[in-house]
Amino acid sequence: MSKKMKRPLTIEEKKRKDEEEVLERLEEKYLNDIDINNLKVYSSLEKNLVYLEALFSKASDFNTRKFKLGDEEVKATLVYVQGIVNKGFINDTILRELMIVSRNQDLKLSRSYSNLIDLIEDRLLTMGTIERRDEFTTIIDDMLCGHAVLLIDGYDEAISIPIPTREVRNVAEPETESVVRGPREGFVESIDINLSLVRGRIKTPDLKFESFRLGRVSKTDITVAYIEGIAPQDLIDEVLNRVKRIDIDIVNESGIIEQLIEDDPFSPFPQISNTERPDGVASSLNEGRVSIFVDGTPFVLVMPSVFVHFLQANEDYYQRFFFSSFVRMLRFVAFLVALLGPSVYIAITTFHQEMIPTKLLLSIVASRAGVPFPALVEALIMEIAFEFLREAGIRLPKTVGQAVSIVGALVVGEAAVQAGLVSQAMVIVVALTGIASFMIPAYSFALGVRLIRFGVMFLAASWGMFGITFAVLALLIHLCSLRTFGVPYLSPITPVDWEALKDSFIKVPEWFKNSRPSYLVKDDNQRIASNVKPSPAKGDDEDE
Amino acid sequence: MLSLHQLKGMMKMNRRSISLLLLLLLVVNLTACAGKREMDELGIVGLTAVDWDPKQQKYEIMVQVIVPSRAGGGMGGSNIQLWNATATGKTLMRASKNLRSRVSKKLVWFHSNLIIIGEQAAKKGLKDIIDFFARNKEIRYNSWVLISEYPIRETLESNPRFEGSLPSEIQGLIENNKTDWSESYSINLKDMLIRLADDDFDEITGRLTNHRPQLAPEGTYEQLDLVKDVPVDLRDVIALSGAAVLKDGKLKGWLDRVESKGYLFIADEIEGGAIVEYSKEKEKFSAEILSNKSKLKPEFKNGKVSFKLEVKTDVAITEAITKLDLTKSEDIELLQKDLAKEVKKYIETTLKTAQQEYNADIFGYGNAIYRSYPKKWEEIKDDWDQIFPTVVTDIKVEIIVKRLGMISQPITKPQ
Repeated sequence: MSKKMKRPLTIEEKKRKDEEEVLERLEEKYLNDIDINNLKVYSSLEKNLVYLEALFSKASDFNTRKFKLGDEEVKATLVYVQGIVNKGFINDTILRELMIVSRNQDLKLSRSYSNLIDLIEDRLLTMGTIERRDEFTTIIDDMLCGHAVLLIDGYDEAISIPIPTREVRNVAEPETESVVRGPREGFVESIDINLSLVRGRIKTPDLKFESFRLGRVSKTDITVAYIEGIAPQDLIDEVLNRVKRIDIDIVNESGIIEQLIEDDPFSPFPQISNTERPDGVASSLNEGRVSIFVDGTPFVLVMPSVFVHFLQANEDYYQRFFFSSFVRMLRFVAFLVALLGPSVYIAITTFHQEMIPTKLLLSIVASRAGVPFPALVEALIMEIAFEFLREAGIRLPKTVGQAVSIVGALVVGEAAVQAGLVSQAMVIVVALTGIASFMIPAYSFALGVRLIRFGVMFLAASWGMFGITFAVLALLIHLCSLRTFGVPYLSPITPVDWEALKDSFIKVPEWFKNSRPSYLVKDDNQRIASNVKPSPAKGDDEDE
Repeated sequence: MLSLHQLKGMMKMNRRSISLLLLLLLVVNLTACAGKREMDELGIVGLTAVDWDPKQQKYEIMVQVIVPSRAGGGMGGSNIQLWNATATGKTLMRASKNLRSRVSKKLVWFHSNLIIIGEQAAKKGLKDIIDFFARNKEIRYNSWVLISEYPIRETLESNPRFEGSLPSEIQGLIENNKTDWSESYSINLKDMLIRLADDDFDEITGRLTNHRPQLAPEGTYEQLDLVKDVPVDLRDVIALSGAAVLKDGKLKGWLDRVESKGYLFIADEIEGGAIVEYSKEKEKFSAEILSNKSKLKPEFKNGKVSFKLEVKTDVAITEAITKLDLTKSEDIELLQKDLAKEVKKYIETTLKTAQQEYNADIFGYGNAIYRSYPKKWEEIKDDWDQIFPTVVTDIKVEIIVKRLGMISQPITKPQ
């Protein structure tokens, strides 16, 4: 045994020894609970590969491509994760340059480089960006984000080449916010495309994109966008602060960020809006708001968002102002109906029958005759059935969804009335409430309204109009105290801001909207030049 | 460290707010839906009638309850069943409580907009009755108070011709009278209360009578078969005609249609629709009032009170069979004078009836004196009953013909 020990090590034995050394070190790191990635790159290619292969063991998409570099036949390896890198680049550019072009180089010139990595960076790799890395942490992060990493034997540095690729949906019309008039492009799942859509609408260097990664496991790209000089600095700082405070394993959708940075997590009202529309984000940024893009979702967060923002749609700005104002007021009415519709019906029919005109009362009583439930139970049955239908319609495949709505309309609507389980008046009220809640353009806001409705229904059934008044007061108090990123939720209504009220429940013509909302923008308020009100050319008649 | 502290604070606050919320929810349960009335438990009283039975010395209260039924397929107000009930009692409250022993539904009065008082009860006095109604919070102050010349039982059983129920039928009659007819005058509970509370202001309100339909009944008849045994087309229908005059809440007598119209002129209550008609020799005229303004003013001369009534009326000619040339202003003036004379006649008749026959100050003469000469009113107040019939009213009527209608010249001349 001892004789064998003295014999010089064979290549295989040497390799095994290297392996053991690295693995030992890995194990030690694991045991001591130290970040195993916080390692410098070894100068030995073998050691590096052993380490990486150990890390990526059982990850079948991890790929190493070993080759010899230049005339000197330096051992080199390109490591990458398959699928998220552009195969064409690897095959046609990187490997080609490194394996073939490197041989034909005038090596005399290249000998002036003492460092092979400098040579590769300067003369061989014709890529837009490459980065030099010497820590495994960054190398591994890079690889997982679609970089190919070149390791060269004898160098404790690596070259990281970003060639990410990913299957991306085409830019298409957003499904949640359709318009009659307005741009038909919507965000997609790729943050780069999303950012480019916004950049294409705001061509100023003041538009800033601050990017970083969030999520210990997901390492999701997050970008905070704002226009410097318009968005107040304290708002930007606050948003960045809140986002950077997040420590979470996975960020799949912007909704997760929203829940982690909103002001009041227990409020039924959302304080951050989301949109799929680049034009919406662009105009919000121009109002001094900040948006957060999250890779992998078409929904972009916009903050701060106050009450009136949730009752506005992009198209309001594109149509002529008479109609836009009309629709906005309708939406406010719809908000009230969606919130209080069934409760007012319950309150009036069980407590305040004297409030109904006699003839209407008679027909309501006639329709209620024979219904075995009290009004509250009747309303609950219908409302819950309606929520069933709605939820079922959303989750089911689209083709089945239609069948559900037909069955729902027939069974719940028609048959229940025929059978005398619910009254026609209640069906009308519930349907009206449902339609009214569809009028609210912001889905997240409508969800809150849908939920509060049930609470108010119970209050209405116990205390009648008094209960409703109580609920409305409680809501008002809550709304008044609610703040989103330092902005009162009810602005510009209270604290009143007359200039901003021009774009709230009504929408004044563009030429009359002189300034950006001052509750958002503090400094650069000028929105439109004065005297731009359109009028026919002057003096035509007098000249003749 | 700070964040940990804050977190603890938040947890504490949450626990507190959650327990507060739970407490609030408990309160909701505790109310047990106080004051709740489900709609299908209600018997909606459409009208209330009160009469006095002199033999039994008891009040008789009658209600017509509207019971909507679902038989015809849900919403649709036409499917109304009416249900009449009557009960007697020493007091009205007793009588109305006695009603409840016969009703399975909870009787509610807030949609009753009609109080009909029978002749006997009106003669006995309205004050007790109105006290009961005005005190009750379910009775609306804008309910009409009418006096029925026709026996109340039959009033309730009569046939609504157009509307589904009697209350809305009578309501329609009152509205129609106000805007299109002006030959009756009804007041609501609030005004009745005001007049009853004022000793020197006497009451007047609409008179309900019956009317036997002359034409064959229409479809609406068949829906309702309220009175057993009587063939539908032989039943009377309700009509509103003239007014009842009360003094100190006691029925004194009736005003006929012309007198009622005269009353409307004096009280400045004409809203339009009233007509003025006259025939002289062979000429015939009628005119519809477009607008009217009456001014009543008391005057004192030699310690004697007299009244000045100025009536200014715009009319449109509706019929003209005449030799006059209506395009000439002199002829129009002649016509205006004749019409004014006619209006004066209406007013004089009314004044005469109210002053001489009933001695009831339904015009509010006393109130007018009190407003203009409060001190002198104090002197004559006690003798007002004696003074009122002797008060002279100087009537000035000015009529202006505003429109001649679609044709200006008469097509026929009087023969």
